[in-house]
Amino acid sequence: MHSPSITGLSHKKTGIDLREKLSFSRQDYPCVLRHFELDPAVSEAVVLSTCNRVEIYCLGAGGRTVEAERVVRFLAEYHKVSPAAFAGHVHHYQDEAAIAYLLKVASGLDSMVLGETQILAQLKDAFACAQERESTGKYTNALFQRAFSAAKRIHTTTGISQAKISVPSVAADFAADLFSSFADKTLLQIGSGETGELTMRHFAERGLSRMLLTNRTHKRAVETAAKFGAEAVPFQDFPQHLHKADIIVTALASDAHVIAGEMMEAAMHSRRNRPLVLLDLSVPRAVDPRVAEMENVFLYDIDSLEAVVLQNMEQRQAELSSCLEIVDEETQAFLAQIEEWKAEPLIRDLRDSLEAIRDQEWRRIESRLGKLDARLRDDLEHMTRRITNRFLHSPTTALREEAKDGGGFRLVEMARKLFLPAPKRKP
Amino acid sequence: MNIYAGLILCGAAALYLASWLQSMLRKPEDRSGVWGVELTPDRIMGAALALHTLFLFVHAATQHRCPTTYSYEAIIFLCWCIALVYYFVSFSFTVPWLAKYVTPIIVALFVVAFVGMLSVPAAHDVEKGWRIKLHVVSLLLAYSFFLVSFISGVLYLFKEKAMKLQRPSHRLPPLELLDKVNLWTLVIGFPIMTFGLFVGLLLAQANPKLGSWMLEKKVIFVTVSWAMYGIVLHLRLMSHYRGRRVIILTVVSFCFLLLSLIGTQWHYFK
Repeated sequence: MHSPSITGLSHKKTGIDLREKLSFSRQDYPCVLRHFELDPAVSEAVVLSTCNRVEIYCLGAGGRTVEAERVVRFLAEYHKVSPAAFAGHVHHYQDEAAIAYLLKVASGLDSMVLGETQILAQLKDAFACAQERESTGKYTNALFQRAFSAAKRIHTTTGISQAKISVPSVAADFAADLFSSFADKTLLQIGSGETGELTMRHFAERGLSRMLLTNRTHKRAVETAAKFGAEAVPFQDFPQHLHKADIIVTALASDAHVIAGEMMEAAMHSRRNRPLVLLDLSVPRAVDPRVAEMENVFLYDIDSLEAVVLQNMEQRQAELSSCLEIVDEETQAFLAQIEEWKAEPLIRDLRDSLEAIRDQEWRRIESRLGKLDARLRDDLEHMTRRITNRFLHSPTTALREEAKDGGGFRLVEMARKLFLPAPKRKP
Repeated sequence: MNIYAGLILCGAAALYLASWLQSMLRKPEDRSGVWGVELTPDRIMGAALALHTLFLFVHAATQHRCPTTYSYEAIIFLCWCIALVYYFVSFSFTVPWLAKYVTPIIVALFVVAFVGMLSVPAAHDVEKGWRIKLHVVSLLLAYSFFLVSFISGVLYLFKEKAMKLQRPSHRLPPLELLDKVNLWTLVIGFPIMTFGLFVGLLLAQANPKLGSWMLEKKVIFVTVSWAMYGIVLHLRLMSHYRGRRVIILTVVSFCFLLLSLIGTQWHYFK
């Protein structure tokens, strides 16, 4: 009997202040795992800590469940926080609910951004760390492998992770409406704040070849430009570089329009009317809206980008029910897999017993086959093995099915009585 | 028509139809195929084009004439040119979307050709000689390039409209690609058309029976569209004009070309 449990805190019930206090760094993982290795109530454990969750996945020793209080006590002691400060925020799942919960976490269905895939990488990393420490076993290995394959199935067969839900990624999609490839294009990024940096990362990932970056504080522009191999341009000089850019992104706070209509007209003239896309992520708007009326200039403001983000989020939400169906299917399949394991000792005994008989009989007859050709002897031995394998095929399949259905193990007991020799009674 | 040639032609038509259906129904992530070969619309169309080419050879060999003599033959030849141009464009640019628009036109033209086969008129005297064949073949090839240019032009206008309204239009190909396809098909099609018209001009002048051929509606429409295409190319290549207005001009030019074809015979004057 296995009893998995998951205890921890997540963004759903806990604020960032508390999550920060109770989180672990990657370097802390071995120490945490060591604690649970030494705990006699725990046989297998994995620890996961991300910015949105801190969770301990445990398998209780001797088929018993690891209680939530045990994990809460550990977290309190480790982080030197009173258990009363966070006990009310802790979630605890066990058995089937714990399996389903892990599958949801792996697939990003429990994430703050529905369907995100970063959590899968974090979970794989946490599992790899636990495997290195040998704090996982047959059960946890199977459970996490099932979680990874379920996540892959969900991401590939449903649209949960397809629709883009960040403004910079949607902005890059809009630019892709104009250009078939970014390889020979130039980006001019105005503003090097968080949004600006994210946008540059998205374009860099899509193979954009050249980036120009300008910011009111030139030093900051230089620092950010260095991260992306971009060229930093002094803020007062950027109008002279407008004509070089095929994509212009503005992400800065400004009361007046940073890009005026006349400025854009001059730039378009210099670039011989080659098309250009302007992505205005600033509030208030940094680009004069009249620019949109110019031929071959395509302007997208924050409202149009956010409308798409909202639409995509709704699209992801609509996929949730089909994802949960997959989670349910995979949970049941995993439970059936575990049930199947119960027949394994008997099947192994059966195989060993039959193999012992075959080996004994083969040895008895082998001496009489001395004159036979070596190849023929090998064929004969191979044939005896095939006979035992074919003989065992139907019973092992039936035993596994019986175990999977959880049908009371009558067949298992019967098989034991029929095929395995009874222990010899002492005289 | 030779029975074998007829069967080959029916096979080609069926494959064009299959390619059209496949381009409409197949999902991009679908990798299913037959005998390990993925059945993309491109591949089916390739098979159709191979059969189509075979038909043209068999038909020309058995009928001992260029397969553009009768209207239905000219239409079938036009389909072949369109498929050929499609492959040329596919080879030069990444245009998986084009099959969706080209194949229904080919299928529709095949239907027109099959109907035309039922009542084959007598070939006109003026059609004899290699110059008329050169005239017809070069014009049909040029029209095929202009058809692809027209398709990319119409898609450009739809896409541009959506982009100006700040709406996502990811289902249509990128605007830059549509513009490139539109321009390069014109760049290739225009000299071929000019050559075809020049051969036609020589033919008309050499034939006293034609009389005042310059006032024929067909000639007027073709000349107007030729002039418009010339203006578009001048604007695009010399003055670096681009965008909505020149694309509209290419679309209108093609409409004039259609006017010159609709209601007139293929390659002889009424």
